[in-house]
Amino acid sequence: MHWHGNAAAGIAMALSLLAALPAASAEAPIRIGSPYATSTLDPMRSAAAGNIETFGQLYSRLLRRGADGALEPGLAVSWDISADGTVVTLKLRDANFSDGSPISAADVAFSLLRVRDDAESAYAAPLQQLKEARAEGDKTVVLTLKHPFAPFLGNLEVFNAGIVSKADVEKRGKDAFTKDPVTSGPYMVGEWRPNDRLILKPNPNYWRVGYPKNAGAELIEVPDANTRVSMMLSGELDAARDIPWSRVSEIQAREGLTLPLEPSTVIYMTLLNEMKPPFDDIKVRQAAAHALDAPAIAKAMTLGHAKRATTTLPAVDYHAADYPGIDYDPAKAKALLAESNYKGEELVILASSSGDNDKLSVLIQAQWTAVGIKSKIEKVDRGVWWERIPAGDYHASASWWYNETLDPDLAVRWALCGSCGSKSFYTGYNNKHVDEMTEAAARELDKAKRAELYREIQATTTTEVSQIPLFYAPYANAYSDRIKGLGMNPMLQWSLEETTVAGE
Amino acid sequence: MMSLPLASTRRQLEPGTFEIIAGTAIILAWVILALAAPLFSGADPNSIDLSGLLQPPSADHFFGTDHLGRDVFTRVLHAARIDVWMGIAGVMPPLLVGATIGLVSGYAGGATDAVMMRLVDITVAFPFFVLVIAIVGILGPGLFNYFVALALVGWVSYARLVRAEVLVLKNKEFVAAAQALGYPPSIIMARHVLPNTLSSLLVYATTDAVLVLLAGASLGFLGLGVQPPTPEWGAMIADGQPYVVDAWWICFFPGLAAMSLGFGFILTSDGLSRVLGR
Repeated sequence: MHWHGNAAAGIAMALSLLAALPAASAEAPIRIGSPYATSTLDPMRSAAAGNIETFGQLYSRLLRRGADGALEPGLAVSWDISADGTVVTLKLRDANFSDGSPISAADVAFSLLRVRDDAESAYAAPLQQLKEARAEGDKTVVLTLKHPFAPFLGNLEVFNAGIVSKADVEKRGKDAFTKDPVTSGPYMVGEWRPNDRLILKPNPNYWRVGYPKNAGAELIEVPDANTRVSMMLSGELDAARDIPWSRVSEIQAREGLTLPLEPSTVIYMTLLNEMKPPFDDIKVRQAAAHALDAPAIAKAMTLGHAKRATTTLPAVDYHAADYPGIDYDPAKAKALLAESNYKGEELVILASSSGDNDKLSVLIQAQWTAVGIKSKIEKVDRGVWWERIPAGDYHASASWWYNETLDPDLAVRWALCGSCGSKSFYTGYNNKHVDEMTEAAARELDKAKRAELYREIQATTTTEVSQIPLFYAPYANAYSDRIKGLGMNPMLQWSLEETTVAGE
Repeated sequence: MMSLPLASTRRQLEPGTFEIIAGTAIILAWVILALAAPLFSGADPNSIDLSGLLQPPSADHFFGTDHLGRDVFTRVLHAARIDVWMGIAGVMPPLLVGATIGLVSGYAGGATDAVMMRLVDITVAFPFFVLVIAIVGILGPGLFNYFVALALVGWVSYARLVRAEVLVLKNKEFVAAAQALGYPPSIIMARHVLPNTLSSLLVYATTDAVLVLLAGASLGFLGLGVQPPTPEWGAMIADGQPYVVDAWWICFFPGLAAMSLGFGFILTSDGLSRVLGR
């Protein structure tokens, strides 16, 4: 689960304006502007927005997501799961790295194990159930699991499960990811200018013959939202991430530009610290939830472009979309407060100084004040935020997260499971029954039964207010008509290799 | 403010007097607006109206509404309480610290002076704003910590200024006379030396008020000033920045307010320096 890597550097904006015209080639590269930096080229080393998008362009994974979101063969042509569900045998296709060397089963085992084991691995959770990864010959990988695990194939498609060259990484170490990394994906690195841009050029050895359908791309850092909009309007960018909500309609109305509001697995919610008073009391949490007018907050924050959240999970598979959610009921909130342990203490709402987080915090504070929950806002930078939240040094904080795959298992483990490392996104929410259901749902191979379990998890955690769900924000990416076929899937992956550039 | 008796005054005004009057009038006007903010606008500056977001200026909302439907006019007025206070009170900590150090340093001379002035050199070596941001970043955001940072960083200018004056003053006859009469150094410094530095201190402090005000607003812009939802001009400009293309009024009016108060301080300072013959 990941978050904005907030681009702190303001300099990149000026630089990108200056350097918008690279050498004129036969076909100009596709220029994508984003506030999120590419800070490493090693798929294991980061779980931040910006890098997640980049990893998908440089490294192929065993499975891939088709345009419809279904899992398709990637580097693995076929797979076989043993009857007891614990051994997954994958057959690799004949594919080569960008340096021409073959992608072997040993590379696959190496790539997966370093995500699971390396001390610097940023996000080892998807491969925790992997007991053993073994190469059988050059083209067969045998993955043994600790127990049957339904989400496993999907987890092989997560952003950090890209296949890297064992020989190259062992030979060059960290340098393998700074200078001209050997890649397995549609692109290789033309040039990387940290804090400015990453220039991608097609990987001639990419296994999908005929892809990428373009001459390359530039991932350009443009931290300021209004600058990204201006650059889109003036044709300096072909696509831009995170158009501010206040400019969405303007872009949509503009000839030559589109802004489709693509579905995401993002959820905005309010964390409540359940490890100390007053939010250790379920009645105070329920009061805090009933006090918030989630539909109005969604409307005010996104100017009507997002749907209110009704459960504690984002729009992943098995999302209980018909669950009614927590209704806005200030009278009920007051009644619950009166029965609770809360005696009018002033609570701390921790606001991150990035984006419009303080706006969201001010809204929450105002609606809480209306029912008698007193609070003050403390605005801190993201670094401090990430120290204080895990340390439990807060009462409440509005934030967001996203799930890197469509299966809900990792989402539940991140945000709702009290015994899963992140202690329910550091709220300390801890319901043994939810934890048991989490494990049961992960092992359950029957889809209907899984759906039932996830529904109960969502119902329980929403009723008990593990967090207060606020809204589901789509991705507001803008595209120029100069390019065709570019989009972003809910897992933050661009369909860049499918993209064509219209006539110059 | 009624019309000032300038036009009817036969006597030629001393150069600088007009600036002082105009400047202090602006500052006073802001002080009055700040103190009487609730009289001018009965609304609550933090009251949110989600049905009236980003409304342009109108008869109901003179300065429009912001991204949370709050009345910008009311917020600009209430923000004056913080910003005017920041400009006026913000110069006091560095002035007190700096003047004391400059006075002692200049009067004592020798090793004390050498040490103090090296301290000044070290502080000056860092850009003013970078150091203030660093200190506020460490202490945490808020008005009090901003004043602390100002005292820690801004004192050097006052120290240099006062020291230079003291070096001249301490060789004057009236100081020598006081010394001959056996007054202790503390009395001489306080009664005879310090009062003679006040005019230059005053001139510098009014100039400094502009810097302090704008630096404070900049901290608010960076999120290191007064905490939301309390209105403050810099923070309001920062809030409005994402909407500046569609809703210019959120940024424009607090910007105008900060500029006018800054202009008031500059005028006053300019006038004072002329009148006091500098």
